[in-house]
Amino acid sequence: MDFLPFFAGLAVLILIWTTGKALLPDRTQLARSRWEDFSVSYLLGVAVVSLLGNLILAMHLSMTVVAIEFVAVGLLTAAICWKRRGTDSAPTQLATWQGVLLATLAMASIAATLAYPINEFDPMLHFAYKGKVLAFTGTPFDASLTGMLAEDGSLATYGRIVTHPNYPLGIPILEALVAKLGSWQERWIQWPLAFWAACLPGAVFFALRCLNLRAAAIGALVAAVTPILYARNIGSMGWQKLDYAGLNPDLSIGAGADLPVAALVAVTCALLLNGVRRSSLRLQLLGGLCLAGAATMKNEGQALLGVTLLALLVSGLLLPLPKLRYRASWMVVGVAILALLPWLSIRSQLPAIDENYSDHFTVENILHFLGGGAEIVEKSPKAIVGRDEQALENPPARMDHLPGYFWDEFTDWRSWGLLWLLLLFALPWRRRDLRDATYRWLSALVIGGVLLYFLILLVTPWYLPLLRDKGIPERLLVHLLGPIAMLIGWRLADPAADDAISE
Amino acid sequence: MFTILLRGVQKLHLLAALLPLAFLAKMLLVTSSTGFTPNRTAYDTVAWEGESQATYLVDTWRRPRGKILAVWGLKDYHLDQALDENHPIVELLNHVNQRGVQLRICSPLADSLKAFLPSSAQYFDDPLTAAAGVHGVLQMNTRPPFENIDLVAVAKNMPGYLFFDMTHNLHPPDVDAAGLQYLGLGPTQGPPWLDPDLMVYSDFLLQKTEPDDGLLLLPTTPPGTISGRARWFLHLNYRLYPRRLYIYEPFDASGTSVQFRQWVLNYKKEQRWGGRSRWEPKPRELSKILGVGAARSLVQDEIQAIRDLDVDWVTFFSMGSDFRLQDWETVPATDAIEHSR
Repeated sequence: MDFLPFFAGLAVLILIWTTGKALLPDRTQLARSRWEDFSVSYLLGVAVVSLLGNLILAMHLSMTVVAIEFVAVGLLTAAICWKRRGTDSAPTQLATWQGVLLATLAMASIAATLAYPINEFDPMLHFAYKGKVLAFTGTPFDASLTGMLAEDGSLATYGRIVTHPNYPLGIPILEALVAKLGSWQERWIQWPLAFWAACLPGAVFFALRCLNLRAAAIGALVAAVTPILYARNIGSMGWQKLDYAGLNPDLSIGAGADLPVAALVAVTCALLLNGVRRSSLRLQLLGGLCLAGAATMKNEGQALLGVTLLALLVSGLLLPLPKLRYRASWMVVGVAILALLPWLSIRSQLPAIDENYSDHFTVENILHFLGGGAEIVEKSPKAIVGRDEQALENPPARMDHLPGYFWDEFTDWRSWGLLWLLLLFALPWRRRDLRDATYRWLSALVIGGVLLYFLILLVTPWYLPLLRDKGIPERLLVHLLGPIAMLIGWRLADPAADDAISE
Repeated sequence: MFTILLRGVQKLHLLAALLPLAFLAKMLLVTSSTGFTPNRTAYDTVAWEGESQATYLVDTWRRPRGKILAVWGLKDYHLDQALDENHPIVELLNHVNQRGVQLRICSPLADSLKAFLPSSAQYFDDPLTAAAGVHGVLQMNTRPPFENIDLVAVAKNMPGYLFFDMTHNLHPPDVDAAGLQYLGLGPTQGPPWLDPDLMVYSDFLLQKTEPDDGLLLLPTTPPGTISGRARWFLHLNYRLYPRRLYIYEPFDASGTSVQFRQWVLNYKKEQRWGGRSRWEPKPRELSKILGVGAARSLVQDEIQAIRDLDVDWVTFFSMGSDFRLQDWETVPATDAIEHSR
């Protein structure tokens, strides 16, 4: 066995953690437990490493420069962390069974991620391929990604093979860093990708610590036990099918991109919530970086960036309203957008295959489909080859299906437990909930996120039933798991909750 | 009251933890059972209908009437079903026989099935004797007496070279190495990137070519399927990186499934290699199957692409939803051009 990639992966993991940890105020200034500290530091570190990587690559410098910068920053921050060592960690007051449950789920998710080398289509061909490109050629502008176009920008008659060349580089950068420090080995390049499910509940706990520890514990537990954090539709095909656990595309953990978006959205909310409620510009700006980091993991992250900032605006946190107890800085908006620019610059130079949502996301298209309009663009190849002739001849209007897809998810306990029912109760039905701008913001983010995905699927150029087969919309809705768990924890731990509905 | 209800719902939600706990524990057991390395035999199987299997099998021959098929074993498939006239294997063999194919059956269970099988079927005790002089072998059982059969000896005594496998316990490259054409007739197992032929062939190309080499992938015959599984070039491209793999109209070939469908239709419609001749590299690089015309002469723009893109090798392939070694052949670009003059 070649141990170099194993240790390289471990080194990347540690340096990411120290990068994030050094950016956070130390534990004397910002109380947190070691568990929260690791979770938030790691996710923040991932965002910063991805953003810096994109910045360097956008400047047409090579992945070797990214690796050198990464190690240098990592070592520097490790030294800072060493100097800060010894600060007390704050208690969580979790019951023993709660701690054991959280630790078991976290450790099992890490072990399960690393149990196999990358063994899924999307993680392999959409992300790891780009990781190889960065590791071997050092740049996203190589013909490995652009070679399906001729020199004049037209489609090449003969050219390079590549799927979805303009998918974001966050995950490929993490994989390429492991390869640069060691070698390309498809099990151990997953080291930095194995901690999303383990860290998300810690981020939720940290978010709600500023309210009370009870809210934090409830929120973290709600997030950690939600099945879709690990896999979708568990047991839906019969319990015997568990014999194939991890062998079908229903996995959430692994080297895919949905869980990193979910984890980074969760840590964004955690930092913004603490930053706003503690009036800490530093935490707010770090939250802005994490939000941009989410957008470098998957294209949907860009849409969520927009929704998050819009939610800040509509909740009033960005406005100079009188009597507003909490206020967010406009610098968050600036930092998030600025930090994303390098990736947008890279993206504009890469060919696109199907990620042209901006062309489809028009008022005209939305109204067309909302009114029961027929398919415009694509039909399922399955229908075309005759497996579903009825669907081909008479494609159903999207509004006949889409609300049903969402309802199926909201009631699918095998993927979500009772999360959506709990969220329904946690929405700001009471006037006093609406009076808290941070509660308004989280609620607007969740509602806006669900609406956004509804509208995206309404106008998608893909054939909707085919997307349903591929785990849509649940793979998108999981991005909102963090803020949903925060709302639930907040609502359930509210000391004045007893008079809830009556108000 | 409301909050009590809400907390009750939350406690119920905590019970959902049992699902991921069971899933993750099972996943770790499954992965450990395959040595923490994905293996296609660990995957679920999808049952075929006897009739569709029979159609696929018989249509492999241009003129099936009069062909002779040796059947090794009868009940490795659909083990849980009673052996009667409704058993999928009985249905399959009856359909095959109705299309004029003679059956030579070798199975310890033959006596209990004779009543349901075609009256013209012949019965044998020894699989090698059953396979002597046949046009194809249908293997349904890999347990004794059907394990470790010398396939080279079988191939020597067969006028035909078709080997239908319904067990998926065989390693297809071994069948090819014996000089038999492997055709998987059972359910597809596992994802395409775990296909054993693909792994053998990509490992072979990793040895044969240099990391900075360029390979132009060209179909030898018009693409015959729009199955997404037939896009083996995507997996080769990933496995062989950083080698440069080129293909005709890559935007559609490696695009969405609908783009790929259009690529297949366009390729067929254009008849780009009308009048091109097939040729056989001698010896073949890896496959032992001869006489299939594994390479073809090139059209002018293909030759131009080889020059423009600094291509070192031409990889000829026939597109199918199963990766078969016999369908793939990589030759030096200079040889490919030479054979096109």
